[in-house]
Amino acid sequence: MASLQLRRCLLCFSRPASPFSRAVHTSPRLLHLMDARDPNQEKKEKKLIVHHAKQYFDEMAQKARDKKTFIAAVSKYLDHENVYRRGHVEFVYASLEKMKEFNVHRDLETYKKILDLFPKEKLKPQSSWQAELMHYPKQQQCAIDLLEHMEENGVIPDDDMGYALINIFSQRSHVFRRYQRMMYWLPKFKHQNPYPVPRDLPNDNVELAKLALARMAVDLENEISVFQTDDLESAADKTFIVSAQSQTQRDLITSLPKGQSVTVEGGFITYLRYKSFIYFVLKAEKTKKAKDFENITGKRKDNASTFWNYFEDEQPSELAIRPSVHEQEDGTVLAMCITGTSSKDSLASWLKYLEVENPNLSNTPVVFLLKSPTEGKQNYAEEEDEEEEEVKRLEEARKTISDG
Amino acid sequence: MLVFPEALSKEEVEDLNAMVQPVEKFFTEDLDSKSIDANAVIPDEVLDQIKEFGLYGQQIPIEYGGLELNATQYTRMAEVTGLDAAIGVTLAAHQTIGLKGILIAGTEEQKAKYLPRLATGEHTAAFALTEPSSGSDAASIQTKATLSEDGKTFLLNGEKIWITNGGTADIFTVFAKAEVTDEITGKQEEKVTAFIVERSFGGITNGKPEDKLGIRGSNTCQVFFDNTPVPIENVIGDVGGGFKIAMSILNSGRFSMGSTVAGAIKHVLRISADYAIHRTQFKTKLKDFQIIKDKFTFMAAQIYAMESMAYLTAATIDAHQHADCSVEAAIVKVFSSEAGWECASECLQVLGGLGFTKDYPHERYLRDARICQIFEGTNEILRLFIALGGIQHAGKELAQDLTRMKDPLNNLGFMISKAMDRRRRSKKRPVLPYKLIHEVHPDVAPIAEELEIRLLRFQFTIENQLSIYRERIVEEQLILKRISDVAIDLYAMTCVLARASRSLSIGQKNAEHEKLLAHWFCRKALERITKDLHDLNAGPVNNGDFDSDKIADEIFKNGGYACEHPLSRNW
Repeated sequence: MASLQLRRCLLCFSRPASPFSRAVHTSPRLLHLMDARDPNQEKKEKKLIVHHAKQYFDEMAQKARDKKTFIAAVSKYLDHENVYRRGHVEFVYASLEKMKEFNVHRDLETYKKILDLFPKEKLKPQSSWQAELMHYPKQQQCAIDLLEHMEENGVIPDDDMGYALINIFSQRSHVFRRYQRMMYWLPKFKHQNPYPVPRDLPNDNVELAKLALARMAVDLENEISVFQTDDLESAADKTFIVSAQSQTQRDLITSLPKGQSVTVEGGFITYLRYKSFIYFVLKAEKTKKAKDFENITGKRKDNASTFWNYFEDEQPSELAIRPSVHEQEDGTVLAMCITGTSSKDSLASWLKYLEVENPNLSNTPVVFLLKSPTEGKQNYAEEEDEEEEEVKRLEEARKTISDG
Repeated sequence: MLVFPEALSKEEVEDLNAMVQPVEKFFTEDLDSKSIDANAVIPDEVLDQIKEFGLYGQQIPIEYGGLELNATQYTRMAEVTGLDAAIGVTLAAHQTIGLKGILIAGTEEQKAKYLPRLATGEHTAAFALTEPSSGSDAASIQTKATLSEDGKTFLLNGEKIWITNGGTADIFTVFAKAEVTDEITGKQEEKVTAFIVERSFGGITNGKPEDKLGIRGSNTCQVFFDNTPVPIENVIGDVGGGFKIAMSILNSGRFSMGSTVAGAIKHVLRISADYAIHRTQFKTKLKDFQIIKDKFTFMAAQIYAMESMAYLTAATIDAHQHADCSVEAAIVKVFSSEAGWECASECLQVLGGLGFTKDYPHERYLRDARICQIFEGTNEILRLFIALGGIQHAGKELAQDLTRMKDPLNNLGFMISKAMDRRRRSKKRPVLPYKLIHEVHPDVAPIAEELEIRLLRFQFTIENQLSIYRERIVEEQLILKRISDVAIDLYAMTCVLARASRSLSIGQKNAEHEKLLAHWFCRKALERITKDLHDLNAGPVNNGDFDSDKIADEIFKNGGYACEHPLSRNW
């Protein structure tokens, strides 16, 4: 009994990510109890999922891959299985797999439509024993997996979903307990990121680059500008340049000591959820102000009579001026940029644009310290690889099932 | 110790009143302040009359044609000239800061050349220090004075902003950065220098007069200097010594704000009191309602404190040759400016809707009162000045003690005596060293005792704070603000007690009334002092400073109010 309770508790928490393992790990012991006669039950279920996927979703996918066609596929299933809702659990699993393809995996309404597939009054327990022992375990686990899918994609359910779950499984169910936990934690976690990424990222590369730089900039006076190299004749690459610089940084450039060089350090990667960007930083050596501040605060005299009364003396005798946030230990950050092609030529164009607002730059020698590959690498290769891999996996799975 | 000095003899007081009386009549009866405010200009006839009174040369020595009023007499006169704030500010800009530089630091030739015509009002003076990028931070001015090849002329280049009398002045006291070679190190550096600049030198242009909320009659505008030639004889003091001159000019003029504001509020209080006496609501006269009565008590107490502080400070300045009353003057300025704003607001409140209309002068007084907290050193800066100026002395004395405290085992005797001393002082009823209760009239003696207890507690608190923060106390502005608030209240209490004690002792008319006022004011002041000292000793976490820091950072990070709207939903 104790191990059964433990198993039940474990069932409520999050499950591994593979789409197929979900269908199988539905309390395997209980499954055996229910379908002890048929040794091929697992394989039959997998086959049904793939069949559903192919019949309803792949057809719609050929027309278009959006919310409308997804809902249409679901409605088509409902039309076919109006009375008995045969295989609705497998259909739910199939639809969960297909959501990413149709780009509805972050849409709450779609999840509600999928939840609507469960029959309404049938799955409710009639006694407290039934409720305790996870009445209709396969269906409850399916619903739990649906909620898990929502959680992984950052979708917070709403009150309507709760009422729907009560209607389908009753308030005493394991699914509803899961829903309650989600509703407690997920809204609290929603705003915990101190550097939040917007929920719906724009598609435009320039906008994304602006967002990425704005997130990295600590100075409240930071200004982001967008340049197109089309305006510059000498540029070989035709691309956009997004540059971030604040007035403090411009003042730092103006007050660079003569003869000191600046470096363009590059090939750093930053992420906005699943999209990565390569950014470059214009840096100079550690300023004298930062060195003085370190020296003086390091060996502070630490007595009460040496503070600077700024009404009596013009300049502080001993105190150091606090350096700005850009003056770091390893150097001074003067500007940042993200370019479309991340090539050395685009960086040269960037410097030309910076010289307009920072005339002192034209007199300073610039050194390029570029580490990662920058010639011709595209920014969004990672996502393409991910999609290819997923397609490969589905193909393999389909092959194993048709073989088995 | 708690003495309210009598700076003037009986004859001097009578002469002073005779001088003040016609001026007061002019300001209250003949002057149309409303039209000055509406048209934003002081008519020439008014200015001529003021010149005839000799008010343009109040502090200039008689040999140069002025009235040579000492600080007390000048304070008395300021009570009257403050009745029209625009005229008061014009006069103050002319003599309190405009020509003060020549008075305190000028050579005999400079005085003989400029003061006579400034005294008669033929020339008007202005004080040009503030620039667009340096208001409170006077050391960061960017106007440059370059020495010519022959070393006989400076060329001024720069712009000044918010200059009162900027459009009408003929003589400017201009502060600019000139290159100086340091005697000791031999380094070249740019230091602030003061110059007397005549408009006739050329190269001086004005911007248009600013359209202001209050003191609209005074002329405030930008002044541009374009290669203005200034002969080297016109440097005030030494080349490179301008910062100290600027500070001493500003410090010397502040205390008169106490009497200026007191005079203005007394005038508008009279109108409000008259209204309260005649107006009936709920079948009762306004003057019989407790809340209204409390308002008038509050205002009377503030006026009493302002007057007491102003005249005590003035008397102290008069009594000593080179008095350094900069901290006291700053205290008077901070207290009077904030009290003036609150009292003007309360006077308007008594009138209700009528006070809000332009038919009554209350709204003009309220608008004029607002500038007091901003000019002559913003109140925020002056609070830091008061606190730092006071703590500096404590810090020097403590420095040795603090180094000894770092090494306790070698200084056991010192540690024990220090511990006993602290224990003695931290009790609620410590041993009082000054015995202030014997210095005042017995009717106000209990307050004197409370004052002394707070003084000792204040000393204890400051020592604590200094030993925690050492020199970083400069950055702890909220601690400095509380320290200065306590200092302001303590000084106010001192002056009020001194004056009440004197009035009771010599049997002034309405001395009992003064005693009540003193009690009322000191009770409120003691509450504030106790609260501030408690907050200081409680530390930044318990008194809210720590949270305030974080909240403000979030507001700036968000670019505004950072909370979600009350109606917004999370899911």
